[in-house]
Amino acid sequence: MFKIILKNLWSRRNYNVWLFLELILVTVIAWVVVNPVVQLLHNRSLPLGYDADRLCLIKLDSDWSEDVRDTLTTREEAVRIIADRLQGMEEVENVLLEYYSTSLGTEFVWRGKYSSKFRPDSPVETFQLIFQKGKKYFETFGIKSLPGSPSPEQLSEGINVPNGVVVTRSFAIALFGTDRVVGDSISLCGQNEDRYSRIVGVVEDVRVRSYSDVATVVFSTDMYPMNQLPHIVVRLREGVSPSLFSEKIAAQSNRELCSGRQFIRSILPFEDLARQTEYSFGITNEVRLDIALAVFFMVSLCLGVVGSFWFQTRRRKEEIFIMRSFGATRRTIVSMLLGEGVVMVTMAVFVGCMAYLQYIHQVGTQSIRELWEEGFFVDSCFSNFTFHFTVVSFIVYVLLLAVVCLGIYIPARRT
Amino acid sequence: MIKDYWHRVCRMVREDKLFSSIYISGTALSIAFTMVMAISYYVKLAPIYPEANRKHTLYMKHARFQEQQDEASYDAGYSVRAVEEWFYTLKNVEMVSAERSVPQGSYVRLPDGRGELQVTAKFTDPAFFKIYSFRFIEGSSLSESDFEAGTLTAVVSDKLARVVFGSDSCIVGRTLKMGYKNYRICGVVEEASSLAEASYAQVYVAYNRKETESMGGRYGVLPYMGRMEVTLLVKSGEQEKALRKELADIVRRYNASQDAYRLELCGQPTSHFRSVFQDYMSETSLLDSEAVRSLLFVLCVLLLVPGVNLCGVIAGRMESRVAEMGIRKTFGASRAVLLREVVNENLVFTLLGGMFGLVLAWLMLVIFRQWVFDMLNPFPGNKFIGSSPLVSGEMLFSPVVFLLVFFFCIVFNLISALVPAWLSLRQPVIKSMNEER
Repeated sequence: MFKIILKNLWSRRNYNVWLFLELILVTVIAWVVVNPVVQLLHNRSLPLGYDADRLCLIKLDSDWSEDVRDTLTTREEAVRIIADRLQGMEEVENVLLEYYSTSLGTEFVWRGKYSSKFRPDSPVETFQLIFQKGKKYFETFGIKSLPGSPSPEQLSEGINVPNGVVVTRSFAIALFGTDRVVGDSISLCGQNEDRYSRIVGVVEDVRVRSYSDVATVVFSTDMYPMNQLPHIVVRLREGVSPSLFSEKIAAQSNRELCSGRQFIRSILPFEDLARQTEYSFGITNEVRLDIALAVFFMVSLCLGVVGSFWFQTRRRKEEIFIMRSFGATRRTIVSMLLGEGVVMVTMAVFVGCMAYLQYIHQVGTQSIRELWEEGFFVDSCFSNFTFHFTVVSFIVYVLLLAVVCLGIYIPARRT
Repeated sequence: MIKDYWHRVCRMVREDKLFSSIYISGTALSIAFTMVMAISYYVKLAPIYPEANRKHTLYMKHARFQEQQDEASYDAGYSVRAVEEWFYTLKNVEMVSAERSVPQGSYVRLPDGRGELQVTAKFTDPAFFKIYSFRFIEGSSLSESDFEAGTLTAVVSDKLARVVFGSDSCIVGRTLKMGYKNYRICGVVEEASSLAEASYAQVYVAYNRKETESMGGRYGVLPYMGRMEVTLLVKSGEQEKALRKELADIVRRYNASQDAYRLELCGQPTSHFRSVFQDYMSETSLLDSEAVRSLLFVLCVLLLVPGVNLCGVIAGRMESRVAEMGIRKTFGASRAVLLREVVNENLVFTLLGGMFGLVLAWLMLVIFRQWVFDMLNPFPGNKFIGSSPLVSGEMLFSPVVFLLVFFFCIVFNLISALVPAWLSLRQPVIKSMNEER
């Protein structure tokens, strides 16, 4: 039957050429739109590295009714008082003070390059997060340490080492080639060359943002002058719902949970924070556009295939009747028509993917991976270009095959 | 002749329902998606309430202060001092308005202890209401005397008035508590759609000079850097050219007066058209903008791919008409005449599909309005989270929209019908007439 299929396709090449061209175009476009969706789904399936369940971000605001501006120190003190009051609530397991751009889940996170004494010329780019000693930072976020490293409780309390830092596994491997690096020293590029920070612990990898891949992270207690108010991160106890907690806070915030001119403005569960961050960075829009385009092209392709093959079955009635008279069943005829579609899709997807591959090689193979951020990501299955390209091409092939087979089956079953 | 033509087309639609339905559906889908993109940008570009003067409106949102000694540069808005010394004194301009950028939302205290409501507020000046054509339901705009005196007065939108006070009438003179300050309401305006981004707000108050100046960064080191943005209204292209010269003189004078920093306006003031597509101040060409490239790519594929798709359907259809074409050729019809006829017949189907597509586009824009208007924006920020922008009749039923549909239909028709028809008509007459039906 395969020979008959190829002969049929060749003999009707004048009619099939349009469909074939369209399949090639749709293959290329499907690749462009499917790739970000596949990457996002892959990234979201990776463990966050910290426990976002029952974790909430509390945003504060100031009452300017008296038109008097407090100093930053006064406001910081008021924030600490609010944090202490929250800590005293029965629903709250732990409270942390965090600064925007040095905290997990926020939109912008500090970045820097670190090198080691032994590899001063090969720095590793990394995210930098700041934590306060003695505040159960690692326990609150549920970040686990590796065997051979101090426990999260010990790391949170702070090892008495000047300039001590905690690094993630991927950072250790990227810079030292191993995750057993407790005691080694690293230096922040751009700072005093003699100023080294000692690694006091190694923790499991964390994903700084919900949509991105695993990245290298360094946790430090170095408090740079922060010309901003901290915000509060709260871990609720088991069984406490963030929405009910939010309602309780809203009822109390003006009476019991305010201090000076500071009060609680809103509470945002970390899941909602992640969605907001994805929206602000245009990730949500991009995925919506990609899905809308994918649906459009698949429906359009289906219509075209239905039309083309309906004309074909009408035109080939004589041929089909002759085949039936020689004993071919309806199933055989439908299989033959489906086979023609499968061969066409296979050839078109191959041509389309090869064409797109040439384009990727021109713009750089990292362009298909680094869609939203550059440079900090560790090796994962998607960092292998061949694997990445093959997986996405296969998904595109399956999608197109499903649509074309559906488009052929609808008119073919009437034979 | 037109009557015959019309009868032939109606007969074709009835005769071959399969072809008609597939062609019209395919066209409708393509036109619908194309029009969704086109209307989303039309809304941002065309004059809609209250931004009736978009064609002559220019924006200055940022300035770059480049350190002369090293490569550091600071991109920020303008200070109140810059606004008063540079912009309010401009001669080649019809109107100048400044507003303070507000990074976070403002909160209005609802009366009777009902809690607070997050609103969009603009901290601007009286000239704002001269640039934008607001329709006042009650009262009037911010006055110059109140602005100079720093009196706390506000203009609110009718919708906000209904939410806060339960009515949009007899509101003037009442008090609105926002940010823990009490504002006396001096006017109520018909609320604009949030799609009119430059002018949309629910509360308009005058910016406080002293408070705004204290918010500026690096004050003292860079006294002209701050958080203000400026909107300019010119009356013609010539005035715009003169304005640009005047601003260039201001920049030259500033740079000559000190040698620590170099001021650069990076091509500003920016026209409204450019501001819709520009992602970054440093983009010199529209093609540098990711939004423009995405839009062009999407429009091309939305028309091209379905067009190629329907080429196949039309090629199949042409096969059944080969004999007819052969007979007409023997009676003297030229290839050009036959081609024109086929393309025109297809145009009827395309226009039918275009009409359905337009209706589908309207439905999609209304149902998915929360996100469809910002779909090609690479950095939407937190603009539309949780909000539903108002989509009005003037946005959807404008003559420009119908012209765009017609234009896209012509393009689509040419893509889908021209080539297969031309290829089919190339066959010799004898072969056409002997072709098996």
